[in-house]
Amino acid sequence: MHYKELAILFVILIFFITLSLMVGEISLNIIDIKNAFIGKGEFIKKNILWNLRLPRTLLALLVGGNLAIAGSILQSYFHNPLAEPHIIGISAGSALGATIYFIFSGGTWEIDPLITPWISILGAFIVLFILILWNRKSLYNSSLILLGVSLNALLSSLISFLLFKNQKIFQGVYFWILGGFNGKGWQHLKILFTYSLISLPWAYLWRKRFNLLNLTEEEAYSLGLSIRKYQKYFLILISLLIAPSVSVSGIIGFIGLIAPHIMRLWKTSDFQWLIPSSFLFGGILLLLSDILARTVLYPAEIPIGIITSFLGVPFFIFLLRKEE
Amino acid sequence: MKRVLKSLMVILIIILSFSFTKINYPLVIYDDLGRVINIQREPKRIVSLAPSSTEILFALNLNDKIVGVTDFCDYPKEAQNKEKVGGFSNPNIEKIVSLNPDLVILYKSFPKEIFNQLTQLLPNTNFVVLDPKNFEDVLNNILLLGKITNKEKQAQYIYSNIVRRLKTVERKLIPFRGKINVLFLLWNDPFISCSPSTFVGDLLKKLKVKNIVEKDTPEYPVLSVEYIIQKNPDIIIIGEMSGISIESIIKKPEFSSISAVKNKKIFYINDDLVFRPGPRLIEGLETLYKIIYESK
Repeated sequence: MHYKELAILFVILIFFITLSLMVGEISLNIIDIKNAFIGKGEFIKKNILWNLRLPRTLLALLVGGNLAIAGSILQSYFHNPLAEPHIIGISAGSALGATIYFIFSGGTWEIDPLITPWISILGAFIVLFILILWNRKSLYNSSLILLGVSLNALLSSLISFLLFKNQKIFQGVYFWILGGFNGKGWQHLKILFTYSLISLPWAYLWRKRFNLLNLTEEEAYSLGLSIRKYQKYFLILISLLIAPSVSVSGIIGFIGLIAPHIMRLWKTSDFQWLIPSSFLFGGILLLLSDILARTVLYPAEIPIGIITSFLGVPFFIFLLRKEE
Repeated sequence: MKRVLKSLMVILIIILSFSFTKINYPLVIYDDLGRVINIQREPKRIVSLAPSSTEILFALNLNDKIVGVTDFCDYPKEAQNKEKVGGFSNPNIEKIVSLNPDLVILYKSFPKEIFNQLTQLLPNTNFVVLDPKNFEDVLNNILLLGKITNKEKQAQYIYSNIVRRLKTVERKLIPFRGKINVLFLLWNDPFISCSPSTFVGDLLKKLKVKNIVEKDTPEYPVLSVEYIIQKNPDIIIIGEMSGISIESIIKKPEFSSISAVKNKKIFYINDDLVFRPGPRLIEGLETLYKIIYESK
């Protein structure tokens, strides 16, 4: 096991967590942060740290980690390096759920921001249900990815159609889908954290089992191992990783694609390494993106998806070239 | 005796003027959503989260009380020197909190999530939510903000000035019967217009013209070329910000049968005058009047 590398990632993560707590309109130093944690110091500093920066930081870390793990599993599941969390339609299901909720509440003001995540998770699980039904009937994983891509396209068109008919909610849905952590607080973190209590330990406990996915179906078969037995559970786990993340932060691209790949290129495709390292690195990448999103064009906030692709893609291409 | 009377008069006038100018805080008001708001004292640090409320506040001479505006607040010029808190759909919460406002003005289109967080972070700040739907609502917004900020007199002055100008336009409209078809264009690829439920739509109604868009929703419908040709607008008005050139409309062969094109009745208007629910809406109305009835 690569304990040294994991330790390095952990230290980097702690560094970015601290940085994320420090930067902003009122910059806080280490002493301010310590004071705020033990309940001393100025009210405004405590207020900003406790109610804004801390939940936001933890949320970015968890979302990044969850999406990266989901991506790492999906890439092996489909034997497709391009697979990423949003490819199988789960996220589009989330977005459709949110859109329908926005429409039923009548406008962006009437929505309850804390009900939105639950309805969007519901949307995601409906898509999951379709995927599982399909999976039972078909023999090949490749057909599942095709179904996912078509579902994605269909649901996205459905969202566009609904928005076209209901312009009042356009802006709200648009910003929801674009994603980010502005305006997100403890309640959002609580939702994601509850799901993560199930999904993260589950992913970690099964880390050896995922290595089955690195084999082709024929190889696995000739070794007398069956992937099919687990396939349904893999899908459920992946959805548990993706849906709550999307429901609290919108559709943030590239993290789930890039983070596990970079970890693969760095060390190995062994999931014993990939699961913990993807989590840490996904968290690091998304934290860094969020810090940039709120500082680059200060005081305006850039949608975080723009940052993740700007940050991740060049680095990714560089690594791919090096690998060749 | 005369001197006593005289001094009594002076005292009386002073007391009277005092009671007229001074609003007694605390004050209980309702905002456009019917939320009950207790204003404890005269607001000293105001943050405005939309260009139109910024315009109202400046019109009320509150320049020295405004501490924060959005990136889009560009009118009047002084607004550009104020602290910026980001865009109105994605503002920076920390920035707003650190400005420590005692009054925040926003509209119903503001993201609810961020509103919830702001009210939680600023428990002692008054939040006033506006939701004007037509010209009259805007006038009431001006009065409301005047009352809250102890500028009632100034608000009354702006109000009666706008009403007087509105009446002037309405008087000039008496002889007209309302047979003019108007197309307002926001965009040309595809053609996007405004429904009667928007502020532009409301101004067109007031001017007794027929908006070729008849349905209230969607607010900003996409119109097909065929629809436009069939409705045959007499006048086409283009929002300046769209960047549509009049030439491009005239040169479009499929539009050659439209009377606005035949008579070259295509005009620009400054979008901010007709879209921002603020004190300049009356200027928008007057400009539209000139375009529609006085242009040759």
